[in-house]
Amino acid sequence: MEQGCTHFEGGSAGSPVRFVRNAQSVDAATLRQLVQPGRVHSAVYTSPDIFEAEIERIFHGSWLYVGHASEVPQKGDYRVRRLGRQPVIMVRGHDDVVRVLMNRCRHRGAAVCEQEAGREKFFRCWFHGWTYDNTGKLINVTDPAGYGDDFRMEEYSLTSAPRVEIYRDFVFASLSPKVGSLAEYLGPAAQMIDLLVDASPTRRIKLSAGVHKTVYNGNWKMVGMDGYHPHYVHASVVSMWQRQADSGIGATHRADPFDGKAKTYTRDLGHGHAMLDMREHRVEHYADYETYLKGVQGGAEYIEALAARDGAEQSKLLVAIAGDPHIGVFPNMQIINNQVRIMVPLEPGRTEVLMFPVLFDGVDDAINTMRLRQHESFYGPAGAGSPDDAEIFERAQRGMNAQVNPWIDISRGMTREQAHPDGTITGHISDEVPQRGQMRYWLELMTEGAELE
Amino acid sequence: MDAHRFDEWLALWHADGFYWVPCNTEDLEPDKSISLIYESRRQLDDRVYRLKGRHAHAQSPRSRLLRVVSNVTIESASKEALIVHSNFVLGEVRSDRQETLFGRCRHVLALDEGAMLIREKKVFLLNNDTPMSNLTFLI
Repeated sequence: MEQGCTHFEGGSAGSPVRFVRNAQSVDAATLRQLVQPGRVHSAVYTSPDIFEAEIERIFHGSWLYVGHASEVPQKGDYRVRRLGRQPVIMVRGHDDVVRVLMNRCRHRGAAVCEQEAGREKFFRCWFHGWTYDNTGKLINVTDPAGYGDDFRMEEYSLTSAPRVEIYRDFVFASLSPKVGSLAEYLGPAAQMIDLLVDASPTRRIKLSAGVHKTVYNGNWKMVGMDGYHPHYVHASVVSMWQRQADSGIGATHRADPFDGKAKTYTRDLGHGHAMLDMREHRVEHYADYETYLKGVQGGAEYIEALAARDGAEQSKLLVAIAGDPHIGVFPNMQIINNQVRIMVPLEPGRTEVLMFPVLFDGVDDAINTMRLRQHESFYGPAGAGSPDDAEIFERAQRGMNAQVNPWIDISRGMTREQAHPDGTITGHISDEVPQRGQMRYWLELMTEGAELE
Repeated sequence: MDAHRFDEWLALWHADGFYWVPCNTEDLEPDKSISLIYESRRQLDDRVYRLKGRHAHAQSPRSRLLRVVSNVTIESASKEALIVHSNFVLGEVRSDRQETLFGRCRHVLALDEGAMLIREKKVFLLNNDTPMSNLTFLI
């Protein structure tokens, strides 16, 4: 399960009839008027109809990140999640296979798992007692004689998400059976995920340190890769780092990666995935970070372990990146600083962001403790960074209700983009390459979806 | 705290003071699991420095706060330290929204040359496993 993509076939449910409130009004021609080169109509962020169409065509129509296999390390371990609006259980069965099952009883539709997390051999629906094992198989029906001789329990397993694939323990699922392979979807983003996983000496990471759950009154697309905002939204934190360079995540953000002179870039990875590519810059300032890390118990051993495994050049990159590829995987995942994030759209103007700190396997506990303290310093509802992001997203959401001139501008750096042989596009760190990449793919999924409906 | 009198609040802390607001559960191993806040006195300095500045946007405008503290009980008392438990209800009003927080505190108060200083403060928020928007004021 560690290398490459593991693939499981989907469930038995067949294609459901689509029943979407108002979303059909969002046709392809309208969408193409709303998303133009370098500018986007605010309705894309505020309209309930467009939001409904996004849920159906993007969140219920493409690959989504569900969770990490390390969250369910033992047989029977589960986590309850949402894919768009649909409740699922990510569970490791008694056969050691991680599945993504719809959290609804096959009888009358009640959720069969109420706890957010736990370990169970069985999921019992307490409406009428139907019971499933932790692979989703129906194993008990109350008074089965009532269903006649043709009733076959094996046809009533909990329904699997139609597509589930796992890349290096990151579990993805699609509610649409029509998507291509996960490997194709991730494209160059996969090797950026590798930068995180390979930063662990055993190439294993653990998302077992809990979660920061945050919510803001703004559209889900606001959470993006933006190298233009730090000096304004996070002016107060930049000022703290100037007082104390090792403060919090400042330890990895040496020599201001956002000053416009640093060797940092925005990178469009295709399929809406985007990156603030700080690799060159971090390697250039490796010595500062190495000194800091050697001051942490187990830091020197960690650096040596990676060097012994991967050689000087690659280990230097991995140590300097510190498990932080700084990528967004469209539409609902980010890996930034010491965390993996899930974005959950609730309403056009309301979004949850779940932040899961990442621990490294095979390192001194002190290194993971450092990673937790760094994360807390900036992220979560009481951190120095996230609440200011949320505040600005809320201001943007309010501002966008002014629609006399409804356009938001995402043209920064359009004339200086560079296309690369690997298919990626780069710009200056402050350029809106990620926003354009996100909206380009958004338009593709939304118009394709419109044509299918 | 309700009046954002940051310097006076900081002055209540012992030099080795520790401020802890756990996340997801009331008790956890802070070295293995994430907290909302787990800060030494020096990090509290950073927090206050940031909040006093002009660019802590999530506190611009500042939250209006009012808390009611009750159910105060003393766990133990000695010449050196007092361990006190209390409950609170905290109302916050900001940007046309009113939030209500409920919580339990455990204070370890050290007697230091006649002054009583906060050696440890742990705040258990009843909703610490639910999505939260803005905890940038003092809790």
